[in-house]
This record gives sequence, C-alpha cells and structure tokens, in this order.
Amino acid sequence: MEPQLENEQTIIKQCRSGDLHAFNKIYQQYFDGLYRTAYRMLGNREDADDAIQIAFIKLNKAISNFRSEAKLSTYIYRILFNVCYDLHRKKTVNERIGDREPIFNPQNELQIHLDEAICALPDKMRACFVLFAIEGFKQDEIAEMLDISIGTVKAHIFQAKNKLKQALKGELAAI
Amino acid sequence: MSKQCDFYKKHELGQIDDMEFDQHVQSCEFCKAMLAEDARLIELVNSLKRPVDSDNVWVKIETDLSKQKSKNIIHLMLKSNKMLFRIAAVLIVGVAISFYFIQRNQIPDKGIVTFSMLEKLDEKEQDYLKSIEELEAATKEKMAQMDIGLMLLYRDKLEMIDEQIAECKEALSDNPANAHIHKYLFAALKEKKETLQEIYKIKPENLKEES
Repeated sequence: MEPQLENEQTIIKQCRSGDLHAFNKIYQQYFDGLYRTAYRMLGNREDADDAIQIAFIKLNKAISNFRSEAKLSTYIYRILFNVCYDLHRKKTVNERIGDREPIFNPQNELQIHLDEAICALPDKMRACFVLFAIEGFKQDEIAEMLDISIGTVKAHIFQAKNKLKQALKGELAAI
Repeated sequence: MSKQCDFYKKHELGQIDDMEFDQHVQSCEFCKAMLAEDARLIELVNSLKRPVDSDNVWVKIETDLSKQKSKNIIHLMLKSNKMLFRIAAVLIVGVAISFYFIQRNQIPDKGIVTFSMLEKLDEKEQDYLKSIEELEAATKEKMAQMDIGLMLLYRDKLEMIDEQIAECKEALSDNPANAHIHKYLFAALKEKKETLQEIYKIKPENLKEES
C-alpha cells in the first residue's frame, strides 16, 4: 500500500480551491497502485488508462465532499472500482475476452501463468485478492472500498488463494 | 502433506483469532505447510508489481480539467450576466429618459466596455491574431518533425485554447461590450501565442520526446 501523502489535509484543501499542482501530488502518490488495480480489473492498458482518467476527474469534482476523517486512499479506490464496474458493464463478454492483453513485461512462464490465473478469478474475488496481496490493503479497508462485509472479503481472499494454488500447483512447490 | 486440519481455514475466515492460531501452528505440520504455501504465493504475486509510466494519463486529466474549468467560468459569467441584464432592463425602463442624459456623461460601469475602448480592443485582438498566424506558419514544420507523443501534447493544448477562444467569441457575439469576456479572450490568445513561441524555440535536437 502507498504510504499516506505528506500534509494530506493541506493538499486536499489546495485541491478544493482548484490547485492542479496539488492535485498532481495526489495523482503521483496513488497512480501506480490504481493503475495496476485498474489493469487487473479490466485486462488491458487502454481501458486502464480510461478508468484512471475518469476516476481522477471524478475525484477532482468530489474532493469538496471528502470527509477528512476518512482515508483518501480508500476514497480514491472506491471511486476507481465504481468506474471499473461501469466500464466493464458496458462491454460484452466477447469484447472483454478479445481485449485481454498479456501482462506487461513478464519475466518468466510462471508470472504468465499467475497472471492468467488471477485474471480467471471472478470480479469481486479478484478485486479483494489484488487489493490484499498486491496493493497491501487491510481487510477492513477493502471492505469499505468495495462496500462489502469483512467476512465476505476474508472468504474471497481465502477462495482466491485456493484457486491460485490449484492453478499453480507444481510450479509453486518448485519455488 | 500431513493430515488435513481445518484450523487454517477457520483462521482465514476469521472464525478463530490470531493468538489461538499461532499456538496451534507450532504443533501442526499441515497448517505450517499451508502458511508456507501462502508466503510463496504472495511473494510470486508481488513480483508482478511494477511501476508504470504515468505521464500520458496525467496530460489527459490536466487537459480535461482545464477545459471544464474554463467552461465553468464562461457558463457562470453568462449566467450572472443574464440576471444583470434583466435587472438593468427594469432599471432602464424605470428611469427612462432622465437617466439617459445623466448616463451619457458618466464613466461607464466597470464590467462594460465603451465604443472607443471596443475599437482599441479589436485592434489589439487583430495584432494577436496576426502574430499567431505568423507563428503558426513558422512552427508548422517543427510540428511535423516532432515525435508523435510530443506533437499530440502540443496539439491537444492548442486545440483546448482554440476551443476557449471560440467560446469567448461566441459569448462576445451576444455581448460585445463585456469586459470580462474580453479579458478571457485575451488570456486565451496570449496563451496560444506563448505556446506557439515555445514550439518555435524548441531546438531541432530536442524535437524527439524523452522516453
């Protein structure tokens, strides 16, 4: 998970007054994690680019409503997931399969298999696993981002791990 | 693998707490093996975590936000102007001819431009347009030699400014004496001129975008 932005409250205040330089600080801080997540949810760079663009424009509009007691990271990811679901809904199953790009810069076969196995997970399960295992969020934060209970998050992560272990059975043991 | 045990599953699903599970793991080979497998999986998953180039997306966001900002300003201005005109119309009808004679000798309202000023503004606008035209001709070749990424960045910026100019001109056709709209038009013209000058000053060896 990205460390919290330094002077987050000050930066948010500056963003509220339309300061694009301050908004860029938020963008730089969260871009990597958000992009990886969008890419895993949508399966290709073009859609991930669109999702990030829409999410940040929505964030810019909504930042005046952001409550300071909430975590900005949770808030941004929540917006991103809503955008990803919207983009996902607009596509047919065939379009989604056809759009799928291979993982960027795979270093070995195992990474390709893992990427395919993550991609084959159901949407919510994939979202929980990616946020937990790749982005390092806590289960309660994931529950808030995805608007589901912690119990459901735990069950999804458990099932995702089992499915991935099954998919990589022999290869995982060899590491 | 050793004998099956459901402690690992229960812990994962939050049915038993960490302390109880930690104690159990010390004496359970099955749960130890499951945790080791988890660790390998997470390690492998983390190898997929790589930084991505973020600049292109930011340019799109910045362009979009700037467009929205200028649209909002013009929209707000036009909205407030409509209300002002309604009030002004009522006032004009109310004080009619006597006010007309007084108004002739008064300094005009801050937001309204006089006819002589309007002429000067037109001249200045023409000056800007002329130098923009010259710069456009001078930078045409450089734009063609540019790397596609850099060229698209400048093209998007210039398109955005052109849209701003068009919106101001449209607003001025309904309301030619509005000083605020003139101010925004000049800001947009100045921005376009400066952007073209920036392109003009790019040295040939810097025409390719740094990757």
